Amino acid sequence: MNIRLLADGYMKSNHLFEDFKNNNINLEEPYFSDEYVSLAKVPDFPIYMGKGKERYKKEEFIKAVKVIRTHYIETPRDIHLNGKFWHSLLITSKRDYLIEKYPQIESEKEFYNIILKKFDWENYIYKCVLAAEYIADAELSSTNEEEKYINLIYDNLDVFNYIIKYEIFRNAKFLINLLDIIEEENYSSIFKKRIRDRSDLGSDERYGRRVIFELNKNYPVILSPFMEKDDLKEQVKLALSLYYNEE
Amino acid sequence: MKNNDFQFAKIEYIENTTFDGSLDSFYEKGIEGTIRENIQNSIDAKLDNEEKVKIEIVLGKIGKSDLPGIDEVFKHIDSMEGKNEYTVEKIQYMQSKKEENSINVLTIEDLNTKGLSGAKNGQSGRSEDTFGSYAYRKGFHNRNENEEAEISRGGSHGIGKISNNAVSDINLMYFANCDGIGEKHVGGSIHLIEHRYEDQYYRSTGYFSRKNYEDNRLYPFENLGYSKIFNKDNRGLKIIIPYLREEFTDFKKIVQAVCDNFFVAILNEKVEVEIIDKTQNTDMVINKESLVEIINDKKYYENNKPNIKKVFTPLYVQTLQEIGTPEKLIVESLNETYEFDLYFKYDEELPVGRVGIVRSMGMKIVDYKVERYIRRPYNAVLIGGPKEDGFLKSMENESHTQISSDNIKDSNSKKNAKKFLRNLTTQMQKIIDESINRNSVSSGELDTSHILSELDSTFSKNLSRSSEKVQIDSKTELLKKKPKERRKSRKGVVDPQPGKKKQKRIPRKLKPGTEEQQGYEALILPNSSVERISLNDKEIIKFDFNNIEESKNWKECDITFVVVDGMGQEHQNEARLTDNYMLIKDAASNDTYTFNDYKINNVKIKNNTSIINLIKHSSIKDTLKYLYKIEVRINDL
Repeated sequence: MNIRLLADGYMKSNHLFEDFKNNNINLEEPYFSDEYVSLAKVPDFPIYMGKGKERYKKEEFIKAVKVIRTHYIETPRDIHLNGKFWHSLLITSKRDYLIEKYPQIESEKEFYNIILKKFDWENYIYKCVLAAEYIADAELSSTNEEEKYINLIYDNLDVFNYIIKYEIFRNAKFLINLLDIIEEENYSSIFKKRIRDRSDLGSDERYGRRVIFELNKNYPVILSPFMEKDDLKEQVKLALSLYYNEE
Repeated sequence: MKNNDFQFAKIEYIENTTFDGSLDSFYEKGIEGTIRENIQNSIDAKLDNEEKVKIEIVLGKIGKSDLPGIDEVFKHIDSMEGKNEYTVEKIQYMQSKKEENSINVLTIEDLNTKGLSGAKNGQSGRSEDTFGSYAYRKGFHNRNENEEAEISRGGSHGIGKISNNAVSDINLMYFANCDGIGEKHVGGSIHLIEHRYEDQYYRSTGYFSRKNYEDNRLYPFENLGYSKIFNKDNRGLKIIIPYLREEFTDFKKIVQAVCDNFFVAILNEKVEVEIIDKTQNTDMVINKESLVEIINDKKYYENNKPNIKKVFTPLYVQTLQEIGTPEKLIVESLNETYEFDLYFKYDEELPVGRVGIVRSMGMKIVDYKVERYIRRPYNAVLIGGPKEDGFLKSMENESHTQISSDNIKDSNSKKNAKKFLRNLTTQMQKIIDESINRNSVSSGELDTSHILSELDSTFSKNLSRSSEKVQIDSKTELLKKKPKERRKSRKGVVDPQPGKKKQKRIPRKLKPGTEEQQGYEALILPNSSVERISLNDKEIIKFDFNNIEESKNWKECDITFVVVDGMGQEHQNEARLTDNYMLIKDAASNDTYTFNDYKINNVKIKNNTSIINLIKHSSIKDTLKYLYKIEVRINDL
């Protein structure tokens, strides 16, 4: 299937939203370029997990990562890491699915917030693509294993967000090691907790975020992104101990 | 401890285990929702005289013991049991507030208003006893469908009062009332979930009141012997919201909420609002004169026209002031004719156009988008009379952000509203078109020479611009940007040291931040000017100021250890000097310096250098990378 790509400047188009809403998307419009990407299959997947019950959001996230892992991640990285590709896919091929699933996108604000959201760490597709890529790169032994780590990523989404925010931590081995450590040491709930006794840190600092930040501060004196699990665990414990007391 | 300040009705068993749904929807509207509801009520309750309504909004702190019945409240809070994740989390959050002693509080007091009447009759159920309705009437906001009706009513106190509970961490609010004959009473309410306390089940809402067991009714307490914050000496109403959520204590947002919603009422001198933030010692009066200053103040409003795309208040105010006499705009529905005042202005610089639709009492309802004309360069304000108000109200959605026929249930009225909206849209489109035609040049050829187009940009070229990520452990091919070859500009000129450029490092001067003390100059020392030696028990750092021209007269400076993280970002408050070092001394005189986690104070400079010894705590290994920020008093420069 050919996905026609949007042209530069499509974010500023005055008509894109109206045309999408009224089902008038036309490949001849100036907001399209002449280029395409060809893919064998382009199955639907959830693209937004910002609203709803926790259990539902989790199911949606896992579903999205699995679909992207299976059908999209084999494309070259310059395609699946480019927001324009995903925006083009949604605009040209997913309208019916999206309107039914996210009826709020008929409002212009939500359209830009959900469909054409900037492709960075706050974008759910971006999160899912990176998660899928790490899962693929980690060469896990079975789909059960893969599912386990997708679950772990979702359960520790706050930490995951911080990992993908810092480019130095973007490698599959580091992520898998860190998730293992969180599981082995039962850090998940501690990492999510707000730090209350340190007003100097700002109002929404959490233990997990600070741990990742401490690892970042120490880099490259301490090369935590490339450490073996046990060494990394020591660094994580050390970083956590700066903020967290057991009792 | 007496246990009868708050009255919760007894019930036989627990049926509903969730919080009132409207708490959440009002919470989402933020402090703006609360400000809007209260000021609207105050304007509606204006006394019949020439004076304007005055409102005083105060942000402050109080002690827990200033709140009557608070211990009893927390006993009930402690006894709640959540049945789902969300409720459990919310209950824990409320319970965690028990130990707090310095409590955020917001008060909203009105003057030259009627206040509530009939306090003495308590929970009478009679509609003329507005005190009773305000304090005890339930049912308005129990269901969402009623909430809609509730919001659109308008006209008397008792509307949207749950918005006051919704911005409190523990859903608690009090009020103090002074009526026309000088009677002073207090009331209040808290919204919990149904709960069991000491073997008795209770309803979710508690009222700060006294219960008369003879007629089984609630009666308010007289305002005697309470903390100062409950004082209400002149006729009117004062709302007291303790445990105001931290995120809502933003002075600026309150100022904006007042201006955004009530600019018409303020310009018409119907109301004047004073906002006082006692925690920051700031104070602002918003009236006809100061409103213009506020909308021109970059601190509060984006007022560069090409950037105004979301908040249109500065434009509305300008439009109202520039267009002295409005046009009449007549819009017909199926069976009625509505007449509005339209203030319309064409302005080429504006990227988007909106019509601010305003109720006759001066509160804005919506930034109305004219269909298909959203991005036309105009701005307008539309104000009706009481008849128009009523009709518009019926079309408002619950958050007042939209008017639409979808918000009407009855099918005839719905058709009627649809017709009205269609006519309004067509009329506005016509007006906008005319203004554009009047204002644009329509003769001659278009000069397109300034438009440059580049046709050969390709997808992959654009990709190479996007940032690359570091991927270490992967089989997939890495994309790398090829370094561009640089041709030498002139032949015969040979780079003296190819590859290695020696550049004199110049200290980087920092702009004085707004929070930074005035009278200081700050700069970052280049790494080449700092030498650091680490020994077993101490470190020695030498700062060399010889490269800095102004440094000759320097006698002392403060040195901040700026942490550089793995991404190259600088952080001023992230060093941990107190964890790492016991003492920091001057190497020559052995005098000790005072220091906190990231800054050493008053370091002496001699002969353009400073040498300091840092005595380590045992076994500490510092793994951080620093830049050194030097701050010098400007007199020394």
